[in-house]
Amino acid sequence: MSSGKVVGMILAGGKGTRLKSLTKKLAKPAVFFGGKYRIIDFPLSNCANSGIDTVGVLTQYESVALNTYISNGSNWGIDGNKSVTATLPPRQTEEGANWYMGTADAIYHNIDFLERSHAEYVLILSGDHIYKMDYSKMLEFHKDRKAKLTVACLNVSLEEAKRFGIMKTDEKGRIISFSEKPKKPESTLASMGVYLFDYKTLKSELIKDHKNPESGHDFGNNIIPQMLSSKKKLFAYPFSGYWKDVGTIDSLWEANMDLLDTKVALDIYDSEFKILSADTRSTPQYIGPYAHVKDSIINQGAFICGEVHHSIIFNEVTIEKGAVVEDSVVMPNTTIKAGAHIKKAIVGPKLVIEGKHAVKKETDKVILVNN
Amino acid sequence: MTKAIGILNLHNSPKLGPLNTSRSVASTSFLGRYAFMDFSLSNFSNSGIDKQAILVERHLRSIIQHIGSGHAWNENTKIGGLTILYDEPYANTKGYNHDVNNLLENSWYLKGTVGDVVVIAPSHIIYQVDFRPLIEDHVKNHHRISILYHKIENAKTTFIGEDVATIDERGFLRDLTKNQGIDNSLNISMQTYIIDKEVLKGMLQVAHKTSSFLDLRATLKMLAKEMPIYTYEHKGYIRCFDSIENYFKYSLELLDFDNFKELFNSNWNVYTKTYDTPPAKYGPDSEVKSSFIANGCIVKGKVKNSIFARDVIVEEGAEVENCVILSSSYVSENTHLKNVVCDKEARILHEKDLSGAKEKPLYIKRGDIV
Repeated sequence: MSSGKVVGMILAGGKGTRLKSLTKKLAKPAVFFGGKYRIIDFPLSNCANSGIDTVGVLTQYESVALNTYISNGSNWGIDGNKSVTATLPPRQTEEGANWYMGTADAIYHNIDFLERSHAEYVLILSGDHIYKMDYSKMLEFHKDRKAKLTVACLNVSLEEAKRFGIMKTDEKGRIISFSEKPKKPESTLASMGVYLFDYKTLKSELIKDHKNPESGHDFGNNIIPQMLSSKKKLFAYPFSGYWKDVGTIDSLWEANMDLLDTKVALDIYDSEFKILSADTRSTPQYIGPYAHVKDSIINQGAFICGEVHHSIIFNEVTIEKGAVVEDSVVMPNTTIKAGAHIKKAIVGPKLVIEGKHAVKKETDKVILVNN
Repeated sequence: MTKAIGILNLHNSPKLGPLNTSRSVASTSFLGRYAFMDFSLSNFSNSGIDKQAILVERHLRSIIQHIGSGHAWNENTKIGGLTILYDEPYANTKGYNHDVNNLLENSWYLKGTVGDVVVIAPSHIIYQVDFRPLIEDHVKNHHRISILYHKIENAKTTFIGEDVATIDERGFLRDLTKNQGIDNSLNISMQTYIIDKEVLKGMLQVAHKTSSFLDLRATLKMLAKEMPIYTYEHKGYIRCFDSIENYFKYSLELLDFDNFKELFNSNWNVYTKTYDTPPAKYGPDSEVKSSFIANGCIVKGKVKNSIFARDVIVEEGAEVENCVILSSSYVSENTHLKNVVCDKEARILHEKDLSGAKEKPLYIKRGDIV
């Protein structure tokens, strides 16, 4: 990356309640995705591919499994001689012990990490979004406009806009208003939750916010409005690729299915921008003599002897002869026994689905099959 | 606990025909996902042998490329380690480039590495073994040199040129002779040895003082008549990969799940280098049966009884049967391939129908366009 030290801070502490039992013992960013990955592989790989060599991962809910997975960052190569990957769960300090009370609060409690890293720019990311993005282009944009904060944004429909942070900009892209999850959206320009700050500005805004007892310590609800009210230079950076928040069972299923849709602009097969992940040490993927496999993505270590149509199959999944899997996602180490018929479902990891398991008819909803 | 050093010996490796013009068996692709050396190195790893070295005879580059930092095979990346030993001065001198000279040239390795016994194994004979009970027995019974052998019943056509172990009734080695394919039922030496480190150092000196051309196999043959060398029988899957024909045959044979289970079991990881390739993708009209498909492959056509390494693309209407396709090769639309071994990065663009014989597969060179 061009001069100016960028530190990536990935917010990965959320429980992700809407993913139901998938996050019972697992933080949302650690949930499996795309046959091989976990959700957080995407922002981490984006950092690696953008030349960011210092990354903090802010963990809180069920942090042990996630911290173990992140480890020293070697799976994403962010463990080189100038690189640091640090997991940053809440901790006890001289001032006491606190849980992270909001996105901004989590960063506030790690200002010391940013100081030690000699950050000049801080890139705040979410650990639960699926997208490929070269952040170095956003940094150039940020520098060109001498912005204090640049918010990556994309165009959404008016209906969707109610779920996002929505901004209005002037003709040069400068943000003039911002509202989090507006009931009546004034525009369709939505924040992706990707924020690039000048470090000095970020630090003073976080300290100011921390002192405000009224604040919810959230970037969208508090920090951005606080900066706009003091006339800081905030810019919207237009992003045009694939981006998806996978916060619900439906959206997680949809994002998986999007990998099978050649019209969707999320290319995990581009070798110049690889999505990196932990190696699974699997045996070769085996497709048996009576298998039918169509329109699917299947990872190494899978054993396919039955039928797989339009599905995403993870490593060490066994699909027995006589089992049928359609429009579904089957997570690692699960066995689908002969006779089972799975349709439009997310099947959790380490399960045995018995032969009598059949899908309910005429259902249009995505089913979660999990313990 | 006895401390062991593992040495993967790439001297004496046969050639897998044209596949080995610029790489050795050790770094040749196997089952789409591995290199042959992964199996011996994983036997070391799974046996708790964390200090490992590779005696390289030639084709150093492809070995280094596969090994990288060596961390894939190490439990502790600092106390353990994977060292490449290469006999620089004699690498290009026929007769001199053998394992004894390599270890002598790199004598610092045995001198400076903590260990009581050395386990030596080849890369072209594929098997699974837990060395721990053997090492324990070797030490408990004060054996100084032990070798592993396998009783085979088809020696007229397999393991040709490998050592035949003549073993006495007490289990000691009497002689090593070459398998010339005359008898079917033979005890074949697996070129796998457990040797006390100090004894090995002495052996190297004895060999060197006897003849500069004496390698490890010849030295063991000589010593078998002079000192007790114990033997351990190995059972289970074993194959000697010594020609492209056998490579082809043994690879496809593993597509039978019963054979596959013999080589792989869930308690025995085979470690390899990761390339961070995405999972394999199948198109709406793909038809795949009885095949190993590695990650990164995109399959739109028909595939039967074949093995694909990473990033192979098979376009619509193509039919691939009984083939081994190495990484990043491309099979264009409506191409029919049968009994073909296709080396890396080849592109089948113009020929629409290529086939070899089951016993003699057609070979397509690395990077070629046909």
